[in-house]
Amino acid sequence: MSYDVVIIGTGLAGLTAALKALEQGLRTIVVSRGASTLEVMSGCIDLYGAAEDPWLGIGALIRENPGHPYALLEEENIYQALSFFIQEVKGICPYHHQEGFQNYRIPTALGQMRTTCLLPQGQVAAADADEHVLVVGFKGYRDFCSALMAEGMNKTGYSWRSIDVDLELIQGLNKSPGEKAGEIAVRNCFYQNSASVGSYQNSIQLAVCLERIWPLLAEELRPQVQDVDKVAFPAILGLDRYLELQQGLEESLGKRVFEVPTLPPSLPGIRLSKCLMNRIRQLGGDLLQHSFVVAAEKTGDICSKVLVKTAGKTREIQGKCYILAAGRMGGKWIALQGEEVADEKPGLLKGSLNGSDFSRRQCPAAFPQQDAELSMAGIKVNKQLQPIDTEGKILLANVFCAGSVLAGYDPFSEGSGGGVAIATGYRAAELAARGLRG
Amino acid sequence: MTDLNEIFEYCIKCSICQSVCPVAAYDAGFPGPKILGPDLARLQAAGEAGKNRTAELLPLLGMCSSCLRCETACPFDIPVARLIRRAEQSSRETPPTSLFFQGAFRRLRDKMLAHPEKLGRIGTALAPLANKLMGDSAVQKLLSRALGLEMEQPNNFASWKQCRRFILELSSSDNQRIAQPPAISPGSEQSSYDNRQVDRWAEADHSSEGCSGGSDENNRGDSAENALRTRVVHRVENQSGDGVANRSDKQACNPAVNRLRAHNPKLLYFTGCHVNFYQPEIGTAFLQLLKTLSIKPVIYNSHCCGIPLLSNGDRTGAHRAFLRNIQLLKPYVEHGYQVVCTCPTCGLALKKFYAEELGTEDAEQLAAATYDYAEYLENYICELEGLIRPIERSFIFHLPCHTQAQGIGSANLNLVRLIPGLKLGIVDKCCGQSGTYGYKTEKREVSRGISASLARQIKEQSSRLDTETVLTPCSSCGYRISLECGVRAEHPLLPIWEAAVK
Repeated sequence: MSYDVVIIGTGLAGLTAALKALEQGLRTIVVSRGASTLEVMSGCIDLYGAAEDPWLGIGALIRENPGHPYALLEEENIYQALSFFIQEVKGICPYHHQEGFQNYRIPTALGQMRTTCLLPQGQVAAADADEHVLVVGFKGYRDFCSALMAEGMNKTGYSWRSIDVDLELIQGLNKSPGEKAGEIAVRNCFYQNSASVGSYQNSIQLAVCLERIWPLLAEELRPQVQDVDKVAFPAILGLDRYLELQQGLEESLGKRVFEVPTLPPSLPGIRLSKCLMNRIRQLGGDLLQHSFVVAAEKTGDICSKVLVKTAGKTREIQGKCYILAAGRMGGKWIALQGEEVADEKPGLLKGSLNGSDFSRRQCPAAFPQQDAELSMAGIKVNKQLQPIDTEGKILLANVFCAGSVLAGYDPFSEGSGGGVAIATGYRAAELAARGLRG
Repeated sequence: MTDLNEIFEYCIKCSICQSVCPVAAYDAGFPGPKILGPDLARLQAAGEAGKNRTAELLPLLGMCSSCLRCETACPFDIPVARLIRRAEQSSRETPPTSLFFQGAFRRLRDKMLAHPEKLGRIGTALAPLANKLMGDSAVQKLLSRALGLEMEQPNNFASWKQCRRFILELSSSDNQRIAQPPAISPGSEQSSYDNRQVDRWAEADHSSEGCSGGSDENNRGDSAENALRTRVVHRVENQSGDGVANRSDKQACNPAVNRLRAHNPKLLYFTGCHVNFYQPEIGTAFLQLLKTLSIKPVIYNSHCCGIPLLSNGDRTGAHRAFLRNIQLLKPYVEHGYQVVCTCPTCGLALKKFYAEELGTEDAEQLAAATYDYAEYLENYICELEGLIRPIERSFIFHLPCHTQAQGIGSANLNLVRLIPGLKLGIVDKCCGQSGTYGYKTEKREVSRGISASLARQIKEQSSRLDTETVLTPCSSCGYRISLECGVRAEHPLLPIWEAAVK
């Protein structure tokens, strides 16, 4: 099977690239090591968080750091990419943005304020936090502390309250006539098989449970919410049916409800990754999970195929072009033929495209001299997103890089991870299609 | 990264496995794959210090359904389910003494479930009686009470007649049914089974590299490819259905592109118990499809893959079954045969479980030669496109866990998409049946909980597409889906057969 474009990585960059490639009618495959990294992300998408106005901030950033991925794109490219993303997830996993993609300010689980650009449906009511908010936590769920959040907010002049709900008490597990024990177990969030000694509540389990019992929760909370403007929950309000759940809660409480992202696994991230992956499959794209790119072969400056380790054997996948969106430290970049990657320990930055003819010198940014630069390490590319060496020579002409695999930026301190991923992913797919059409 | 005693140290506790585990989502008593896999392994490695916590966790291991979603999702290649399986096998040596009688009956039930082959032989011989009996609600109640066996909607055994049709299909096309290892030694291949196994292009090449297919082989295979292509009589214009991009890319027909494809297809079809005893029509469809593609397979319908033994706690028996299959298949693999399965679990067993459990070179060799039917047919997409006629139907396509675990992506789905005019909805949740897991009373609630969320996905799609048929390559998923949603579940080969052969 030969593909037009082989995308390596299922982060935000890889998935956006896949959708754009499919939109352009390319035969597309996405190869991923496992689940999408989005599953541990908050679901908010940052464009540039370090400045009040992200666009002014990006302008300043580019002037200061011409090697920044944003400097490879026109402002218009970024704008288009964000609009494309919003359009793709519409209906299934809706995202919201301000006029002109300006920043939102939202409270964090620790009661601080942060900025972000795109908000999922569940978090949109968090923007511009109101003075009176009730923060709801769940007893026994240790990944979110409602009191901590309220306290943090109150330090900055708000008057928020917190409450912890005991789901076990409110479930009303009395047997109704004609109901079998098994059916009660299905209603019960905390159904435990008898052998178990303790309860292991995780976010997913609570989310699935709340899909069933949210009306009881709403009933319990109704007397508590009279004097507040909004109600905050940890981001565990439903897995598949979260839109219904949120709407239901809002209607029966008569207040707006928002979710606060907390420790992974993160429901907002999982919902987004599911939505994007389903869409890719629906559009005819292929998704390989648990497939490790262990080597690549090249002829001249053309990557001819990648070797992918799957159950039992190594598969060859051929593409006319490749989009490398494998992320940074955790992503284990592709290595060229003859390079053994299989034994590489996770977390070690082995190098970008260093193989028989790639050396340290040719890919300087991949090996920072100081630890402080580590967060900027990645693959150097030209304006066409093709990997280049120090002299600016194109190393692989049919490979386009996207997302955090790119050198020259620090997604964490800048608050630019999501924006760079979407914009470069989109751009890489555009460039790939242009290259294929000649 | 091969030593199981060190491998768990690569786990960074990112919890992605926890979030994909279907059991953890429905059982608050189940700690989840991260805790039972790498965490427990760390505790056990700590010895005395981890003893108390280890003792708490060991009894929970049996709730793992072996869907392998954790391994598929793990970005660090940690064999999470394998660690759980290892821990379970080592803890099984001391069975709980409480509930003696119930325990004895449950062991009897596990034994039954572990031997689908024996069950199948009896069942098919007495099909009318067995099916009637199993369909009876009183019998079902009795089984549930006495044995802890939940058979609300049992699979019907294929009748002797149906099996006979399948066997006729085997014999009519010079296929060879193997029970004993063929006495083939390298070099004597031609003489030993020439009369039974028609090997048309055998004289061209005897190397056993058929599985990997080098570029030079492809060149030599050109004439054969061309010969095959001339048989493709009519070509239907591929219409894009349901927003899918037009797939009739001429590139796919270029032999140089089909590196995997041997010019001299040596194929061994591993049928598996479901085809042998319950739905021989899947096997018949596959064989007829292969016949249309001028591929003459060797049939291996002698033994069970052995996974039911493994998942019902009979490790020794499982290893015996694995070794037997490996021994019987080895001569074929050595002669360059590609082993093809139509059941995702059989395929995964051959690709992954045998090598993991036995760790032998033979097992790895077999793993490298094993293909899912869809993965195999990917190399014949060009011919299939020519053969397939449009069908005006809608299907919901289910991607089973064990297909995903094979790392073959949507190969199954892509194959169905070759049929023009189809409307497809896609669902990808776990069905909760997990082979024999869903038949057990103590696992019923969890299993049903998992099913319910897939059922909802299916119902949404079913009303959107106005269809009552779900395609799933896994028969055990199919069983559960039809039980939960009241829809028909079919193997994807059946519509492909309908479009290409019927």
